[in-house]
Formats: sequence, structure tokens, C-alpha cells
Amino acid sequence: MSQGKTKKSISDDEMTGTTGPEKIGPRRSVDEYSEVMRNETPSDKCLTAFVPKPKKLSLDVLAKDEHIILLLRQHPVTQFRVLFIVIFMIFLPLLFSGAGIFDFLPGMYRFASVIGWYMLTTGLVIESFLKWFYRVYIITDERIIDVDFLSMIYKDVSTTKIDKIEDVTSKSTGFLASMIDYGTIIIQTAATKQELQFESVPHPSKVTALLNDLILEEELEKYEGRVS
Amino acid sequence: MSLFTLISGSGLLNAPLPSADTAILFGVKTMFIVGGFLYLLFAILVTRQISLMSKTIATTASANIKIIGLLHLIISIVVLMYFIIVL
Repeated sequence: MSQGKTKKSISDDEMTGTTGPEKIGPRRSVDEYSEVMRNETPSDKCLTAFVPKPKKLSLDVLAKDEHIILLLRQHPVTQFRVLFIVIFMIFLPLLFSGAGIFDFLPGMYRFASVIGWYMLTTGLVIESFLKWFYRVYIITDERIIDVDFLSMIYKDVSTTKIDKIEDVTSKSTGFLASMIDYGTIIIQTAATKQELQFESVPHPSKVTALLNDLILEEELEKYEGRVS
Repeated sequence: MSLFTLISGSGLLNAPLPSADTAILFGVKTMFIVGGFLYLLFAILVTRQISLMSKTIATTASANIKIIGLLHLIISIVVLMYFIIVL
């Protein structure tokens, strides 16, 4: 694209009163500048913790020309604690019936208590699944989006622009984390803002490399004048 | 005719007092109904959150998760009805 055409585009944007950094030149595909993403194939799986270039995913906070590069969730191994609790809860009524603790109640009431117990177990499974499924970290070619779904009554969506990132650190502590390759990524943004954390996500080294590639690309875009 | 004559004539005073077992079972049934009602509120909350989150993040699994949420809500209604009617 010629320099003159670029300048014309800037003036067009100014005429329309658009605010913020607007892309005015050709935006490169992530495969062009990120080796990590070049090796990843687009995925349409939505029940995994590492979804590169997701095919069928949309976000309400996504801008018009913004593309999702990577979707992350906590590694499934972090849900093992809940899994053990659920297995324990499934077998607990059998222990109680064997011990005869509720024998003083009529049969109908004992049946009702078993139903109630398994409803509680179902509730725990559903709540844990939703907390895992909807707590996502999304990396687009413009921003990082952190959707926190900590409980049934708490939801928080926070975003940070790639060019506001100052430092990216990844931590992988413990035997299991090293073996299975998951860890926490801490993203330090401008001093006045809080840091973002991608907790227990798979392949932290890949994610860190991708973020570094994105930061470099943003700087390159500014340098080459592909952003106003 | 005095009030006492009226009441004693109606047989109210001859009605048997509830036994301790009946009182305990009534307490247990009340607990079941209150628990079932609270669980129903939780199920409604889950359905609502699924609906909201599906708008925030739309995936291929969104429809299935909505169905699971609705089934969960229906089952919790059925269980509450069971606690109220059968117990």
C-alpha cells in the first residue's frame, strides 16, 4: 500500500470521527508473524482447554475486524479435586445404607433423601462444569479478554489491549504442572491497571511466545504506520 | 349453649394428639420441601446464568448446555413436587 493512500485513509477516519487506534493498512494474519500459531491447526472443539484459532466461537465484546487467535481454559487436571469429591458423593449413600443410620425413617423418606443427595451432587457437577467452561482467557489480534465466572452470581469480563502489555511471565510450579505442561501466566499491564492472570492454562510457554509475537507485531504496525 | 359444649360436641377434644414420630416426620418433610425449594432457586439461577453466558461466549456447545440447564430445572421442579405431594 502506498504512503499516499495511507494518509488518505487517516483523513477519512478523522472525517468520520473515529476514536482510538484504527487499522488503516493491511492486517497480517497471525500465521505470518507467529511461529507458534503457524504450527497449530484451526480447531472447532469447544470442550478443550487449548483452542487455537477457534472456528465456531463468537464473543459479544469482539470488535468488527478482531479475530480470536487462542482460547484458553484451566487445564482439566485442575478439576480432579471436584471429580474426587463427586465420586465420594456418589458412593456415600451406599455407605449410609450399609451402616443403617437412616433406618428409623420410613422407606419413602429414605428414598427422598437419596434423591435429594443426588440432586446436590448434580448441582455440584453442573456448577463446577459451568465455572470451568465459562472461565475463559481469550487472545485476539488486538486484545486479551479475561472472562471470569467465579460463581453463579459473579461474572467479570476484563480486557487489555496488546500494546498496553508491559511484561509477560509464566510460572509452572509443581511436579504435575511440569509433567502435564500447564502453568500460570501473569500479564503486567500499564502501572495504573491491575495485572491479568491466566491460571493453570495448558502450554504456558506457547502462550507466552504468542503474546510476545503479538506485542512485536503491534510495535511493527505502529512503526510501519499501519495503525493511526 | 356454652362454647365448651359446642367444642366437646364437635369431637375436637377427642381427636388424638400427634405422636412424636408424626411430629418428627413432619419436621423432616418440611426440611425436604425447604431444601427442594432452595434447590429450585439454584436451578433457576443456573439456567439464567447459562442464558447470559451463552450470549457472552457463543460456542457450538451453547445449545447443548442450555438444554442441560433446562433439564436440570425441570428435574428440580419434579423433585420438589415429589417432596410436597408424596411425602
